[in-house]
Amino acid sequence: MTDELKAIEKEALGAIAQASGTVALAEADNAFLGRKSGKLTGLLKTLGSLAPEQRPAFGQALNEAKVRVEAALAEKKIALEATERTERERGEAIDVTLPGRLAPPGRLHPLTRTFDDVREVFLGLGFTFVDGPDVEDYTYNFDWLNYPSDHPAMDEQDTFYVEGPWESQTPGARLLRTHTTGSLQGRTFEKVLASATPNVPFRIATLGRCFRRDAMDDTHSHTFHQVDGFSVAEGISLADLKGVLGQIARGLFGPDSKVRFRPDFFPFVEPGVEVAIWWVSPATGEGRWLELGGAGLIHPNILKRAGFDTEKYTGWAFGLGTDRMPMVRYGVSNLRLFLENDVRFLGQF
Amino acid sequence: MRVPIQWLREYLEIPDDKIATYAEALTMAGLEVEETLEDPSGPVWVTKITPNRGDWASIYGTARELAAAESMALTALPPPAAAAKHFHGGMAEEAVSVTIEDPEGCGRFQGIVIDGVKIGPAPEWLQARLRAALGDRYRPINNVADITNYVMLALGQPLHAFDLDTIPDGKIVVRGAKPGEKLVTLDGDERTLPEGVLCICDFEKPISIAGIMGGQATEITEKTTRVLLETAHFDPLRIRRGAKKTLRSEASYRFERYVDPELVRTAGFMAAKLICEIAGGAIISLAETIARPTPKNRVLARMERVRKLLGADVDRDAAISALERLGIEVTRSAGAMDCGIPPWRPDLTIEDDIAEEVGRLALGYANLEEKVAWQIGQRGQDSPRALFLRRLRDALVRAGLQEVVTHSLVSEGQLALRNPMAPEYGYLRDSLLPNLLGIAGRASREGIRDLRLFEVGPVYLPDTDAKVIEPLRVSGLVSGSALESLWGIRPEAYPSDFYFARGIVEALLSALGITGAEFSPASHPLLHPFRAAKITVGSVEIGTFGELSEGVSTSQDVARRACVFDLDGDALSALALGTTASTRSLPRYPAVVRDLAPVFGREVAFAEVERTARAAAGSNLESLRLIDVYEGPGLGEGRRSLTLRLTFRLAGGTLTDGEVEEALQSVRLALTRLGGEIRS
Repeated sequence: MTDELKAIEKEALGAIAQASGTVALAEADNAFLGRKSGKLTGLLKTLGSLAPEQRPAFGQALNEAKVRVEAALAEKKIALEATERTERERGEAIDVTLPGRLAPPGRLHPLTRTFDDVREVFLGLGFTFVDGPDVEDYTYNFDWLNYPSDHPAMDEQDTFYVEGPWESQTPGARLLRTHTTGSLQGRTFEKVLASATPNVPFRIATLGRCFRRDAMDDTHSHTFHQVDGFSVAEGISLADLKGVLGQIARGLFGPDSKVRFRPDFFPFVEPGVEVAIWWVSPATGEGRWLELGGAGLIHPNILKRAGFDTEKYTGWAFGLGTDRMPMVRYGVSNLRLFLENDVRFLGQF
Repeated sequence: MRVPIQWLREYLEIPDDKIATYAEALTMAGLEVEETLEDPSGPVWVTKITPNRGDWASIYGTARELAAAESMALTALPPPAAAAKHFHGGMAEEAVSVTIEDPEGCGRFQGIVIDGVKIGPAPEWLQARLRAALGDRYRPINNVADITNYVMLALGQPLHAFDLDTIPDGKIVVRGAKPGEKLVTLDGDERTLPEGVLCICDFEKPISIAGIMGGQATEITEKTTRVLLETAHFDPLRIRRGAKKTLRSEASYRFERYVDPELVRTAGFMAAKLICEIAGGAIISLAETIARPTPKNRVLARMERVRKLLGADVDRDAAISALERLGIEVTRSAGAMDCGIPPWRPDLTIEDDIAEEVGRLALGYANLEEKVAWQIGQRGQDSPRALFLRRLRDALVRAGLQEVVTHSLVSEGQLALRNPMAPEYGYLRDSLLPNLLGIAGRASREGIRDLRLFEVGPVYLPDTDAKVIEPLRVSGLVSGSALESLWGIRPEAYPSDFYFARGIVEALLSALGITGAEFSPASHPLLHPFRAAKITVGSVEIGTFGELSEGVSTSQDVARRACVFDLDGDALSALALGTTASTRSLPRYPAVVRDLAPVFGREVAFAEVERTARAAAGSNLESLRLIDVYEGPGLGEGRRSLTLRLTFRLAGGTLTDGEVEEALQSVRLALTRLGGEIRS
């Protein structure tokens, strides 16, 4: 009997080893361990025909043989399943080099993105934003800003007038604002005048579209954008203005940026300066001065008109062009591209 | 202005190796040297003169500024007396008389008569200087005219030379032009002079537009032997207004920026001396009329205030030294600096002006340190409009749209510009759609038809009381398919069509928290008559959207079936402000979902079907969604099946089959009454 057991076990292990797939393995399982006709399970039935003293030893040997066969079966099953899964997956191979598939995302215009960044820096510095109209009254654009009537300074602000029942260059005439400064200061100061207690100190800003009759070229357009900020407080100075502009420069152009002042003239500031910001090109590592706009201490004529005691209060103001920022940032050499909106251009941002 | 270094050297010592340094110094002092040209005559600076500094519009003025900035020695101008040797013995002849009838317009007038001149070309050295200073604009005229231009460029004082023999009795009157008076100017144009324009006249008629351009009849010719040399001081505003109505010239440019009245004498004698030396002749007569004396301005400036404005601790002696270099006479005393302003600086009128001069010359802005005396200490607030626009743009970008930002100036609109630059920029836009169509047309010509664009911005409209209003519009254009670029997916499965446009509008409304929008058929000049809808919320019409009409898409070169939307941004903003965010708690009991597929004639609007089904479904209806629209054989001509998915749920428990069936039956009944056929 023991010999027969050994022979069947050997046969079973051989069949398992040779099984070429999970189906063949299941057949082998059935052939040897099947409840009805399994050869190994069949030996159990012969147990009764043995002498009582032989039974325990044979029973134990049979059991051990069964455990070994079951272990071999389990091991072989894992191996065969792994092989078959791999085969199946090989058939599912795809070309991973085909392009991805995602409906194209929407995008903001590069000017909007830049303006949002500018607003963010200004908000962090405590500026509160207000809005003014694009079609402005002469009163705010020039008169409030200390422009003497019909001064050569206006030649630098060649102005579009809207057709209507008004005379150009007089209060009441509607024009396309030549800067955001007038809307900002005139309209704010008018509110200051109307309120009993001027809410100083303050920092207020506006960002918007301006128009001048400028010939169009790569860096000039009749339509451009500006951000204007101003502040009135006790004892603020030109050095404070430089400090705030320095913070703005570093917020927009990185920690190494700095500000340069050069004397300049605008009727609404005294002293007046041109503002340039040191910008280092990330591409070339080279720096240069970007002339971004004008600034200065608010002219005392304006502060007086707004009801401030100029011995006590001073103010600073600045206006910076915001179209050159995306130009240098994105390496765009022609300003016109921004308002032309060629979709092939916009798709690059 | 072109400033030849060679000419500048007449007043200052400028070594060749210092030209760049001095250009930078001048720039940083406020007179910007935009570039240094390499002219055949040598280096030439191109300076940018700010409108407040007419005194910079000359070689001498430039030299004076550089001398002040760099503490250099400046050669003084020759005194008028230097011309005395050319005086004709006796000077008795009363060859000229001057009457100023308009003292507001003309403060001072000097006429010098030089007899015995010989007209010819100016000497080469003088022509060379004019050529260097004027560049291509230089046209040699004759020795006398070239000398007047030379002195104007040197000192900034425009002069004019008349042939005295063309002026009856040498009688000169300075007055405003009378109605209808005419003059043929040096450029050959006959001009009707605007009334009141300041003129130099003989006893009866204008012979020159004062400070702007001379007349042809009295100009210097080869035959001229007696020259009347005019130097005068004119009111800046009068000249500016006159020049704008007639023509602008080198002379008017300077006069409208104010010319130092003291130069009348200096420049007059400098030119007379040159004429005598170059063209021969002698000064035989001199007439000077001073209607208004040169103002002597004084400004008191407190050092403490100057320091406070600059935010820098400038040394008082350094400040006074800088002011004195600028020609300001500072009376030193214990208190404020008493500043006597030189006559060429009308821009210095208040203490703050003195602070600027101290700041730019005594301190130098490069040495101004950044300070922030006061920080606001809290974050600022964005404007309500900007906050709204951010939400709006975010919603549209999330819907897959590309933002565009277009010109406000366009070729058509309801508000015209009085002085446009070009017809294509002659009006203010009254809609955002034409710009969007233009962009789509250009894209289409490049073969790009798959577009999803939006813009948000103001349009400009006339209002009552001659006011202008700037309503905010939110507009967009979609065409092609959102899936066009994706391989293996049929683009027509998801076209950028009417329903895509409506999806964008719905997504936007949802993002803004606006509910209860109703969509109904509408007509619009740009749109397909049966594929356009308007959107209303309550009683407010929010806008329109739909498919472009065939005519519009053809004429604009836009892809067929392109759709646009045009919404009222102000209305959206007002509605969005009124919404408050809220959330519902998650359901605790299961939902029951049932589909119904009623068949209707196509004339029955889905909105009607939906409204009817919702009303009939009872309070346990959680949602009703359209799953499919099917038209085809088997339904009959003009009929379609609408598959509705109804979800029922009870807040406080599980619905029984009976309850759901009861609700469904009620819906079936109502839809049948509406003309629907329910197939099971």
